[in-house]
Amino acid sequence: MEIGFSTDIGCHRTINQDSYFVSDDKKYPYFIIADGMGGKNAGEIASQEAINQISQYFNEISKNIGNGLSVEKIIEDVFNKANKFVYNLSLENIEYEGMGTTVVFAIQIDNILYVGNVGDSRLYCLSKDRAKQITKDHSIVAGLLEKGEISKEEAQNHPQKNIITRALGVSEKIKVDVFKHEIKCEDLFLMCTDGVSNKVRTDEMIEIVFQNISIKEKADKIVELANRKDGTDNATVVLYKLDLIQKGENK
Amino acid sequence: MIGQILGNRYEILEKIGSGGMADVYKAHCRFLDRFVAVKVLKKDFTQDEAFIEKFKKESLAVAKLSHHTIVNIYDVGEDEDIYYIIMELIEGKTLKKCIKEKKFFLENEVIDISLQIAEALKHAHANNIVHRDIKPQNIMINDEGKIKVADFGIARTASQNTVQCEKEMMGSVHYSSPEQAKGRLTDEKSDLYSLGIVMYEMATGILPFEGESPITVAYKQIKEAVNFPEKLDNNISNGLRNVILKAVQKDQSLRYQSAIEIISDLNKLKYNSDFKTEFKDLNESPTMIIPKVNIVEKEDDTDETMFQTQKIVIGKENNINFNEDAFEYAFESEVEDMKKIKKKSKKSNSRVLSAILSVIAILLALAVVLFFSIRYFNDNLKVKEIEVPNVIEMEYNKAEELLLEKGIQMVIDAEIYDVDNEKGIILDQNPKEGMHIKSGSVRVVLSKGAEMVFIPNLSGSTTNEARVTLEELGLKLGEVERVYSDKEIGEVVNQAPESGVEVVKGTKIDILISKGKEKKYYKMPNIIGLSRSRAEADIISAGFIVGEISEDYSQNIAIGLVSEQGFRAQTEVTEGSEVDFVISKGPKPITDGNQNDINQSNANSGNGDSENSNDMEINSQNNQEGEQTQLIERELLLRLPEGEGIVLVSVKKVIGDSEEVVYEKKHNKEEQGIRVIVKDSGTVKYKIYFDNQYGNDYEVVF
Repeated sequence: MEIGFSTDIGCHRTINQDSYFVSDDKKYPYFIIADGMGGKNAGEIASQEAINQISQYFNEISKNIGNGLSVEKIIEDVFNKANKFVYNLSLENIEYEGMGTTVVFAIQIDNILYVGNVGDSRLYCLSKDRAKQITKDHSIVAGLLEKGEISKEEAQNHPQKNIITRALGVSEKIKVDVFKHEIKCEDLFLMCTDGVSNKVRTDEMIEIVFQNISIKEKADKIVELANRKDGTDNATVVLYKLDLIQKGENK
Repeated sequence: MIGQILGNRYEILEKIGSGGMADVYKAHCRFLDRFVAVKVLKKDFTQDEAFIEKFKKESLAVAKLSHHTIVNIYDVGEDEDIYYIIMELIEGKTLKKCIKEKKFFLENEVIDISLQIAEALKHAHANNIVHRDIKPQNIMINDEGKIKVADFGIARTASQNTVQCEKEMMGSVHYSSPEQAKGRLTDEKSDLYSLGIVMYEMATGILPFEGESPITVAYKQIKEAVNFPEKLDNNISNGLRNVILKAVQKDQSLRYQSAIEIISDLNKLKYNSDFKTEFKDLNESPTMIIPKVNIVEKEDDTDETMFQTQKIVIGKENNINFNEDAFEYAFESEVEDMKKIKKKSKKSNSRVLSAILSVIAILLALAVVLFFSIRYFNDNLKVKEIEVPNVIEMEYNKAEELLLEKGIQMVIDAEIYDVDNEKGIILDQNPKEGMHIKSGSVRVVLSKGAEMVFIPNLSGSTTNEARVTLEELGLKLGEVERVYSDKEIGEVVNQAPESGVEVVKGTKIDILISKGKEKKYYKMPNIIGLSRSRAEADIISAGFIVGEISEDYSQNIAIGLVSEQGFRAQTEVTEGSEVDFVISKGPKPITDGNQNDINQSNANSGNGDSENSNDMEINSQNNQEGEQTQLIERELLLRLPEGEGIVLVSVKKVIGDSEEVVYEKKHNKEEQGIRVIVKDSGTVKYKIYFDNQYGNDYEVVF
């Protein structure tokens, strides 16, 4: 397994509201990325707390994997608990009022990557010739793009591209999208916040990740590029290549 | 936030609303003792410099709007990292709530409210402000049905992520235009689209596009045509439906192009429920209005009517007068009906054609028969001509009646404001009275009455600003009077008539301008000859402030007493002025000349050092201390009566019952205080007379 990550506050922000977490647990490696929203440091709190809660719950619940509880259900559960926690926090403290966070949570179970998503942080699966976006952004703009009503360029310049329709911690209940991706040996996964995906084109990502440099340098380079282009937002990248599990290896 | 005071002025009382970008509070303005609404930018955005810039800039632009249908912005400010806008606090509820409660509105209500919203848009658009979020949640309505549009043009998009719950998002998506949904350029026409949706909702009680998620609704805004439900309880006319449909065209160029256009159509609808709006053709060829007349009568080539009737004419009942293409475009789902109408129109066209042909045939036959007949026969054979009656200065309804009696349709060409004629009076007609027409219609210009405007609140603006504000609204600046006020110098203190009153355009508004705080004038007391402490007390009690106190030699005033004062006594001096005064150091020592004088001065100053004058009015000087047998010189300090002119001062020594004049001299009252030297021994009583009037007396111990 190769993992590289990089984050930068950007040139115009005083606080990095992006958070990420990488667990290289041999059995169930998982990755989380979150982009918080909220005044002062509330966004930072939201993204950090969400990640803390998710990893904590997940560690507790992961022993039930394979005991009849579907992974989808587990992911939903984990998100729900983290959501409740962040939401309550926002109610208790006036400073945290209205805070929330995007979350992408990806976990490898056997040779499948399960992905839970809320908001517009993204998970791409990159290969030399294409970039497949596994997650779907929760925004009107993404929805219209998907339906073919607007072009990619229009989406890029849409004034509402930063308005997301779902986030963790903003309401009592949360709807989570869960995706399943069968891992192939050449797959390179890139998780990033919108500070990256708004600035760096997928072909530029591919160009960088297939250079002959370390995975950490690749992640740095992408964040650097995002900053160079605009730098108005926090930018975070988590890049990883997963090991395929040979049948019977874990049993 | 509650209890916090912003800008040292606005005390936050309670939260009254919340949106994606800001929270709204009710607050109390301490300066003007009034309640206001404060919109506070959410903390999420206070770090986004670009957004803050935009927010401030746009708020200031919107603050310049002043219209009775727009929520006024009073102030824009920041207090530490709190960015806020102070707005007019509106009593009433949102139009959204009103629609929910009422279910739907009657046609005239829809027209009336729509007109007001359109007026707000017209004013904003004229000032280059596009609202971009017209929705009934942003429109306040009071019990009288008067509306105010809030939330004009404030920055709505940040460069950072913002989350809007789906419900909140839906609120806007339901009303947003296709171009907004697509993220393309928005302009005035986008607001008109949203207005169209609001009108639809008022007319039907439902929204044209519903969906599970904002994405579905946005998709429908882009893709699906607006349809009216089959059954409506409130009998919304086709005329109004068409206005709504024209407003919600997907293609911006097919919509109303300006608020003025939709206002004009709504006004026409108000007068005439049969009014049909003109739909635009994609090819931009304007559709002509076809008069509702019997066309069989028409056929002469030498026609003098001004109307072209080359477009389709559908039978009397189906007097639909727009171009087919536009028609089809507007009613995607009504294609079925359309086909029926088309068939009908074809049928009637052919009927018309055969009618015309037969008339021509008859005429030709007659012409042959009567070819050699006398000319006057011709007149009888001509198609009946109609003489156009005068309708100018008539009331709309009567004019229409009169014209219809003669088979002439009346068409409103324009409606203009006219101070001299009441609303609905016809100002002009075409063709004019006495002209003969075969058929057709008379186009008229209607008076809208005097154009009324609401007087803006000028309070706080400068004369110049007031003039600009008034002129922009078509009002004039009347008399400007300057008055005392607590307001800053140059600011408008009051106006007449007051703000909010609706007046005819061109009305003059008088204003009162502050010339600063009113100043009071007090009489300056005479402090010459008083001791320092007494002088200070007098200055303060007269309403002034003690100024600088200095010392100087004085020939007349005894040492330690006031010898000069900064303002002349008895003059009117502004309250609170600082009054400087000089304390006498006694006469100036003379370095050369009379030896006696030197001695005397020395003695004086030596004595003065003890600095006590028991009586304020009398300064005693022991010239030759210790020599009791000798006559001793004392100085009487007399204060002259106040005023101007000459006064005769007499000092009389009282000896038993008689009096002996020891001093008598004329003095100018302006001298204020004089010094009289008396020489005696023992205790002597003196009486002082001014102009032979007894003033007071002194007992002097020598």
